[in-house]
Amino acid sequence: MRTALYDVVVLGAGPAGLTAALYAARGKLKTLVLTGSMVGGQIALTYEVDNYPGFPDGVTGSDLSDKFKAHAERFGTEFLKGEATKVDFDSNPHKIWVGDKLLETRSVVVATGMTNRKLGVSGEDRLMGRGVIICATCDAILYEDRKVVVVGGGDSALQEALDLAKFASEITIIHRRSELRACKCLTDRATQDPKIRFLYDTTVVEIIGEKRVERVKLRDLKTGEVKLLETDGVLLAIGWDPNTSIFRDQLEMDEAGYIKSEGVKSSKPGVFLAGDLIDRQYRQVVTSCGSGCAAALEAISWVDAQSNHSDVLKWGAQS
Amino acid sequence: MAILDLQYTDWDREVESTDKPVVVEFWHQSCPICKKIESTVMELPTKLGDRAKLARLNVMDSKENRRFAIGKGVIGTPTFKVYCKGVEVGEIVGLEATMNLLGTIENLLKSCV
Repeated sequence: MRTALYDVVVLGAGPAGLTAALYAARGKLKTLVLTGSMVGGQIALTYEVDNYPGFPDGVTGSDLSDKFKAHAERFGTEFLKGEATKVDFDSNPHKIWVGDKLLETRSVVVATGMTNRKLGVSGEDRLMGRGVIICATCDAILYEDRKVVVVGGGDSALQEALDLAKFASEITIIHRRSELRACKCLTDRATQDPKIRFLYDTTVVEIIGEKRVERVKLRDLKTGEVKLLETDGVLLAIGWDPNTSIFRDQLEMDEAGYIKSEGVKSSKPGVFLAGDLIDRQYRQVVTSCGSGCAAALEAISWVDAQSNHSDVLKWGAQS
Repeated sequence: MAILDLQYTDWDREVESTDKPVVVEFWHQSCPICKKIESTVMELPTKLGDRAKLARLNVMDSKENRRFAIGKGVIGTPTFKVYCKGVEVGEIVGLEATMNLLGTIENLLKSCV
């Protein structure tokens, strides 16, 4: 099924994608956002955003993403729930498939963001939400008097471990290196917490349990020894991966999946980039909004150049 | 029809001792996924009509509620459990609830014939 021709299709509905949509729609581009499974991106899974300008008392991630969406809708942005299953950025217009639905568009803003990195071990997907934890804010209080393994050695791993320690009876931090990467303040707090212990040079090779997590299989990276550790939960805090695999044969990217960019421009004409997938350094809501804005302004210029509609730039340039 | 806010002390009366299937959401106010799906959850009583009773139990309301939920096998929020004549027939946990919640509940309710 083919839809009407869009000026811009925004892939992703996090802060970058929604800001791009707001600017593009306000710039009079016919704009569609393909939302993925959830509007809001990572902030939809963040209880409180405390550092977005204009909200001195903080704002819940859910409320902030709802406001972003409403703002983009105000200027006529259309929304479609779903994920791209195939793209062709060499064609003119560009083609994006969502199942059997074909979207055609003059330009694209890719803002598909990041997802929690997984271990890629047996049991992980099957026991997700059943002891495998990616949202400590949601689940920590339900681990009262239970044992939890935290995988990772950075700031987020230690912060999550400290939060869990308010409820859990025992936390074991599993880290594949021989030293933590977290800041000194968190390292000091975690090492002084009597509930937290550390297993260095160790990886999780399997998560075991029938209906719930029951134990993990660990491998000592120095000795090769494999052992089982009983636990009720496994919290993953090993970083993030860009959601870019569908673009692998279309856009230049590095080995980690970050798309190569010049500013917000990709290697393909008319395809622009925004948000975390081009940002290894800052990854803040406000910086994602900034690159979303820039990508939309580039898309407006691109569409204008294609169609010679000189009024388009005028709208986009208004603040 | 509205969603019934349960305390753990209401469980026997509202879930165990009723012939109608009951869908219970275990949730709390600091759970971002619960907040994200709130509008969908609020529409469930209308969409399910007479097929099921909707209830929810806030696991942060009290230590007793939290421990009751843990005793029911809840280890993440949101968790939706479907009960037929007091017997659990299935559950929907965490991010699963953001994808076709109504359809998944309807499938679980088929076990209640």
